[in-house]
Formats: sequence, C-alpha cells, structure tokens
Amino acid sequence: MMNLYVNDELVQAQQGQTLLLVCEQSGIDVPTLCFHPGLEATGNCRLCSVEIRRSGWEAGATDVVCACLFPAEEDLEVWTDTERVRRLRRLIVEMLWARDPRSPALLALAEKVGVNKQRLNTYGQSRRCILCSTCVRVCGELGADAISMGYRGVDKKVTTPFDRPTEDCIGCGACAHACPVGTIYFHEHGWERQVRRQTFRLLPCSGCGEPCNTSEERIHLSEVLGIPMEEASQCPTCKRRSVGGGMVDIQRR
Amino acid sequence: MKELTELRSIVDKYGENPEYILEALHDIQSRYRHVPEPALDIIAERMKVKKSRVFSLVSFYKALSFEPQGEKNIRVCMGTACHLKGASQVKEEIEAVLDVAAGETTADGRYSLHEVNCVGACSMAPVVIIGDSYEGQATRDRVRTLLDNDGSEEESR
Amino acid sequence: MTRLHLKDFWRYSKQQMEKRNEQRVLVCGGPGCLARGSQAVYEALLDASGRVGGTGTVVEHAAHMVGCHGLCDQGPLVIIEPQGTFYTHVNPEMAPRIYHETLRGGRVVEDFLYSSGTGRRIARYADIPFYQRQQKIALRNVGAVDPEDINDYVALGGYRAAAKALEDLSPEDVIGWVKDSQLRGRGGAGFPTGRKWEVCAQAPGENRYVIANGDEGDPGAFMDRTIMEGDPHSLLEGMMIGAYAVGASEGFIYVREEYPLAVERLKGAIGQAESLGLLGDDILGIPGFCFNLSVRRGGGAFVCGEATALINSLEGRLGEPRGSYVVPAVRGYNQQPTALNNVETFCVIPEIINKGPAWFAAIGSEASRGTKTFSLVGRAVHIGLIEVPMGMSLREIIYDVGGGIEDGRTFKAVQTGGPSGGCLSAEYLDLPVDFDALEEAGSMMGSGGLIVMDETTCMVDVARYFLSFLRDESCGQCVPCREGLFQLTAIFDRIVSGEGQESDLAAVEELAVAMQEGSLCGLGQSASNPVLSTLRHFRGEYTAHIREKCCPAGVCRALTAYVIDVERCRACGRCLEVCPPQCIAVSQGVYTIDREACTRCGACSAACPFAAISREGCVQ
Repeated sequence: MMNLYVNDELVQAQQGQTLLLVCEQSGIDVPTLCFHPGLEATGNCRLCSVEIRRSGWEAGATDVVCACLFPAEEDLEVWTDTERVRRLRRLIVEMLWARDPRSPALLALAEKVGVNKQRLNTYGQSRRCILCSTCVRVCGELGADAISMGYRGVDKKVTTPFDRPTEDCIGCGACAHACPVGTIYFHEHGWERQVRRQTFRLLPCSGCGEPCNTSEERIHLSEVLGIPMEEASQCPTCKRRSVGGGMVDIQRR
Repeated sequence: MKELTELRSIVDKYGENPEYILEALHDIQSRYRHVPEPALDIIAERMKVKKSRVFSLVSFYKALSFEPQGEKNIRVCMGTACHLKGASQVKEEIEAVLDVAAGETTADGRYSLHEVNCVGACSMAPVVIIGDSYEGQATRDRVRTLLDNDGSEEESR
Repeated sequence: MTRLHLKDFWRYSKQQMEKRNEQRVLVCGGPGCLARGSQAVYEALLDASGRVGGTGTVVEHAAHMVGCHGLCDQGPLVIIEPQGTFYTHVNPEMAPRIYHETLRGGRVVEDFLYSSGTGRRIARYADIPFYQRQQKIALRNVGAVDPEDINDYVALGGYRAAAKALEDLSPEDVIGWVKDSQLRGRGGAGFPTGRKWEVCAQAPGENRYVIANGDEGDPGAFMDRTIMEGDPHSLLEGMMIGAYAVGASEGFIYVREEYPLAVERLKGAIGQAESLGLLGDDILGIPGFCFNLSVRRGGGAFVCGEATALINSLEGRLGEPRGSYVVPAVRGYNQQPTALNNVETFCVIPEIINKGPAWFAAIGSEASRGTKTFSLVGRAVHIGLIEVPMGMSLREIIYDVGGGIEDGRTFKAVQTGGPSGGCLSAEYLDLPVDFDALEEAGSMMGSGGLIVMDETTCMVDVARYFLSFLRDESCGQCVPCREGLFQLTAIFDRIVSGEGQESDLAAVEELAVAMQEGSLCGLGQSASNPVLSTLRHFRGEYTAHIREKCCPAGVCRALTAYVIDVERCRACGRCLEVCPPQCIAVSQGVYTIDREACTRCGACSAACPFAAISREGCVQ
C-alpha cells in the first residue's frame, strides 16, 4: 500500500495500480475513450491526461501524464481537473469531433468537457472511427486477430487484410460491443448476423433454441480457447442458468 | 506455383520467430519489387501469426508495398537541404516528364517515382537518385535530359 | 583467422599499430563523394599505380576507400597520409599525376589543392579552417580507416578499449567511468548514458540487451550513416563495452532501411570481429563473456527512431511507440532490461575507456561534455560532416567552420534538431551549442542536423515543410500528434496560399501546445517545435503572409509571381517554349507573364539564358 494525493485528498493505492484505477476507486471521474478494463492499456486517446507532481520536484513543477498508464507512486500528487488538463482535454475532444461532426457519442463527450462549437478543420469525408484500437485489442485478446491497425498517420484505419472479408473473423461482434463511439456495424436479424461487412449465420442455442452465436465462434471457443462445446453453444442466459458462471467474454481469459 | 515455392524458401530462412517478419518482407520486396498477397499467408502460417498482423506491417512501412514497383526507382530527396534548394520543382519536372505523381509507377512499369526523406547527400542538394546513380545539384533541365537519355538507352539495348 | 585470447590481442594490436606509419592514399567514399564519382577516382588511382590483373593489388602504395572525410562540398576528396595532403574536386584524369608526382615523387600538385575564399592554396587538411576548429572523437577514424578491414581499425588502436575494459575494469567500473565522463546520449534528448546503463544493469531481468539506434531519420542529418559506413568497428567496440557493463549477451543494430551500405559494412565488420574472437562466445578467451550482435533493417518509418517504437519493430510488431512510462532500460526488448543508445553515443565510449573519463569531461561545456557531430548543410559555404566541442557558438560553427553563407548572402536562421527541433534567428548566433541552451531557446540538439538558411528561405514554408514531413511520418497512434498534425497542416496550407486569418495563429499555438503536452511519445511531444520556434523568432513573417498576403522571401507560390525584367530580356523566346500553361504573352517584342494563368512552376526562370525572369515576393 502507498499513499498519494488525488485532487489534494489522501488516497491509498497498491503497487502497480495505474492512476486511472486509483481515481476510479476514489470515485473521481476521469474521462477516457480507449481504456477498457479487460485489455492492456495503450494510452491512445490521451483523454485521461492528468497533471502530476512527483515528490522531490522543484517547487511549482508539474507534468501531464496519461492516467491509464502511469503507475501510482508514493507521495505523488495528482490533479484531474486543472485548467491545464481541461484545456488539453477540450482540444482532444475537438480534434476527434472534427473527424466526425455528427457523432452522437462525441457530441455528448464535447458537452461533458465544455466544448460547444466546432471550429477546427474537418476531413473531406467524415471519419467515424477514432482509431482508439479497442476493437483490435479485443479481437487480439480473443485470439482471432481478424482486424488490425493498418497504414499510418492520418491514413491509419482499422482493417482486415486488403479490406476484404476475412476467414479469421468469427463473427462474435466483440469489436462492435467494445467500440466507445459505436462505429462498428453490428446487426442481427433472425438467423443472420452482420459484423462489419461480413454476414454470418447464427446457430440455435443448445438450451433454448433461440438464435445464439456463429459456428465460427463456437469452433474458435472450443478449439482455440478450450471452452467445452456445450458451453460454447449456449446463449448467455442459458449459460448462466446451467453453469452459474459469467458469459464467455474477454474478461474470462 | 513456382512463386509459392520461392516465397516459402525466402520465409523459411528465418524460421518460426515472428521477430523476423520485417526481414522476410524486405527480402520478398526486393525479389518481387512488391509483396505479393500469398506472401502474407505464407508468413502467417510459418511464423504462427495472423494474416492481419502481416498486412498491418506491410501497410505501415514505407519500404514495403503491395503495388508492384517500377523496374527502376527514381527517388527525389525531400530532405531539408534539398527542400531549400528546390527539390519540389525538380520533382514536378519528373512528374511531368513521366506523367505520374510521386508514389506512382509509370504505365509501362519502367519507373516508380518516390519522394524520400534525407538520403544523406545534402552537400549536393537537390539530389535525385535514378536507379543507383546519384544526381546532384539537380535542375529541371538536367533531369529531363537524364530521363530522355535513360529511356533511349534502354530502347537501344 | 583464429579467435584471439587477451594476451594474443595485445601482441596483434601492437603489430598492426606499427604498420600505420606507411604511406596511404585515402579516397573519400562518403555519400557526397561517392555521388560525385569517387569510386572511379579510386579505380583510376589503382590503374595509375599499376594494379595487377585487376585484383586491386597496388604495387607500392596502399589505396583505400574510406568513409566521409567531412568536407563534402569539395569532393571527391583524396588524402595522402601521413603527410595529410588534401586534394579536392578530384576526377579520374587527375589520378596519374597524383600517383606519379605525389606518391612517387613526393611533390604536392598545387593545382589540386584546396583553395580558400581568397584563392590561397592549402596543402594539408589540418590547416584548412574547416578542420582547424574541429575535434574528432566520435568521428576519430571516419575518413581515415578502411571500413572493410578490421586490421586497419586495430592499427588505429581499435579494440584496445574493449580489451582494457575486460582486463582491468569491472562492469561497475565501466559504468562508473561513463558516469564520470558525464556523457549524455547523442540521439537527441541527452539523457546521461552512465545512468541509463546503471539502471539497466540493476533492473531485474533474465536477459539483458544492448541496442544501437541507427534509424537516423531526421532530414538533413547523416552523422550516424557516416559512422556506420565509415567506421563500423567503433560502433561494435562501443556496444561490446556496453554489453560488458550492463551484462548483456545479445545486441542489435537497427539500421535505417535507406542505408544499405551501412548494413553491408556492419555485417562484414561483425563477421570479422567474430572470427577474431572479439564477438561471439568467450570473447578474447574470457570464459562466460559472450556477446552476439546482429544487424536489423528498419522498414522506412521515421517514428522507429523513437526507442520504444524501435523495440516494437525489432520484435516484429508495428513500429509504434509504447505508451508505457517504464523506460526500456528497465523493460525493453522482450520485456527485459535494454540499454538502447544512439550510434554516436556508442562510438564515443571506446575513447572514454582509452583516455579516461576526466579527459572527456574536460571537453565541452558545463552541462554538455565532450564533442558533438553535426551535419552542416543548407546555405553554408562548406557543407559536410563536422565534430566540434560542445559549447562552441552557432556563429563559430557557421562562420569559422562552415565558412559563412554562400554567395555572399545574409544569414537568416539555423535549424537544429530536425523535425523535433527549431529555427533560431540571428540574435541566437552566439548561443553555445549544448543540450540545455538549445532547448531553452526553443530548439533542440536532436541528433545533429544543422541546417543553415539565408534570406531566400521562407520560415513559414520551413515550418510547413516539417509539418508535412511529420504528418506523413506520424504513426497515427495517439490523438494529439495525429490530429494535431492534420489540423496544423490544414491551417498552414491556408496561410501559404494567402487565405490565412488573424485567428489562425492563436489556433496554431493552442494546437501546438496540446501536442507537446498530450502526445504519447517524444516525437509527438516535439513535433510542434518547428512551428513554435518559427512563430517565436519569425512572427513577422507569419503576419506578412496573413495580413499582407505576401511572402517576403518569395518562396510561397500563391503569394509570389514570376516577373520578367525587360532590361535583361533579349526576347529569345526560350520561355515561351517551356511554359506549360502557355501564359507568356509577347506584344511588340515585350514579354509579360499572365499572373492569373501562371502556375509558378518556374520553368521559364530556369530556362532563361539571361536570368531575366525571377520570382518576387510581396507583389500583390
């Protein structure tokens, strides 16, 4: 255990905990887009930037760090809502918003951080993805690795090889569920599911017989992740009933 | 089929360690002047990674390309010294002569034109590299003459 | 060759060093000289000296292709040692005279010598002002040693530092010496090397690694290339000492893909060092000291010059920086402690071991000890590779070493630190070159590109140039860098096309600061430096572009026009032939350019035999 200060309040943290976690535990809201509790943090969106001061620094010296990556340390002082931090956050949101001025998720975020008008340059065509890489990390964590971050810089995008349907996609839809701005297409209709631009057929749940998941997902779960086929063929509701455990998701691994 | 065998033997040199993806891709690029799609599958299979990872590497690194490059690369140095001494004008002249934009390959597949970052020959800025030969203090006229000559040389062979 | 033990090494070293006094002919094979045809000069010298059957055997004199000698604008260069005779602008036709008159006859060929601005001929390079103010530590062998021959390196005292470290010093001693020397990393940020090694040596880990960063991506910088191509063994020796100090048994040299010759030379050097027992297992017969070194090619991505991106790339991943706040010295390659240093840093190490930390610490300025290499390029009279003591002023570097501004023009700015650095104006000419002074002035040491600009340079254009370079090279991982560069380039595109608004400058500053504060890696954090420094030192030029819609330097196309000087025009019609949009009109023998239709391509100006067509700024 160690002692540190968040917004001038004494809080305790464990070795290895990040500032974001420490803040969360203390009930302090730090906005973030790219952080996902089940995944390794990358610090892509920089929205969780906070101002810190390490013990031993010269008087008045502070720095801005990314809370999802910075580990707690003894006597660290952290401020989550200084003018310096607010200014940075506002500009980050403005820059993201300029990618897709019609995004409801970004509009809400803009309101939250106090941005009320769009003044930056927009892209010729809206870019609905904010490139936080959460979907890619989820897909990788599941072991499917069907999508990746392709290209670089302003041309960067989440893509499958050559932007074509890929047999590595198991149609689980985890990418869509993890996306913080709701950009990834996910739609179910009867026995059909569409994820991104790929269409999958759904198989019935072995318990209730309702449309459940894809055969690709079942095979992946049982062969790659070693989950018994019985369990892999059940919908979350039936699974809870029969196993009593949580659903098969990334946090299970 | 022959290409597949050859690709496999290039990749096999590096064993299973995915650390060598980039090295293998370099070898493939220099052999074929691009990375053919089957190479992704072969690397993915051999080095036990998913195709998406190999794809992202090729698309990330400038030295690699999916599009076949021309027989000869023309590189216009866009380093700071060259920029100050008029590299853009020289590049435009080449674009006009070859009727391509930087990053493209001529329709006959002979030349690919690239803007490159500092090649370390700042003393002779602006620099154009045609194939392996460096052309220093390049001017519009000079590159036009060079390209005209280069073309006729190849034809006469 | 058999693998040497320590005792044999000292004997072998002595033998080689004794051979050094023999006469040698060195042909500069640096990138500049090679591009000017120095290979043909070398061949011609071999022919002139009567090579036998094309095998390259020279009858009497040892001719070597060596690395960059430094004074690139005078190339191709030929140097005759031990006299230090220095021939400039050498072409193959000059080879027979060099051979017969100088090498055999012992006479200097006056016509081939360096000529100073006043026309005075100088015989020895050591007497040329360009070299007089320099002090070479990292570049000590570059241009003197045959980069393909380990014996030649050993003859210059090579590998003695490594042998000394292994024989007399403990790893802790080596770290102590490097700390005492106060050497700071030459890659840009200037972190103390000794401390980095200490952290690495003490961090918990199963394996440790040493990595040399040879991904020199700054436009206008070619120091590391020159070292790797011109003196690869220095790098190997420095890394070997580093490996011994931190306890690493494996190392990598990550070389920019655009430097194929460096890759080839380094691989060759590693092979030679292995066969002599200077690399590999049980080095110099010392059981248990193993160091295996390999070369890896980069993929053509500027961002891979950033330490953690380089490590990711080395691991076969996307070459994007890691956001982690744990330094590579603690958790680097394969999550193990890794000492990652710039090429130049490693090359300095053997000299610190040879001559002692106090010797090194006595050179340079208070906060930045030792020397620094620079590639001096742009509008200086002398262009090339230099190494000067830290603390030398920009003025001394540009005027004393570089010979001032070419064509008698006026100094306007000097750019240091590449895309991470900034532009300094004339009032900073007396600024001492050291890590901290440059940073305070809003620039950066960077890896050592030093680009001199005169009044024909537009500072807004320079800032825009770096922005577009960085926009192309940003990995795109984090928002402030990726989107900030997109926003800034959009604003700059407007400014240079005459559509800038007063409010743009405030937005530029706001975005630039957000990039500094919020970006994930050092490159993103410093990416706005070229913008901020030009805004700070050349604000007037920005306002000229925005308010008066005028580019004072006459560079930004949309704000300038080509004008025909009627006095000079001889009405030859050459411009009419070359003008792509056909926008030159002739009326009663008077040529005029239609400004609306003109695309400012400059073809007419380039073609005019009478220099009657020029580009003018501030015409609107």
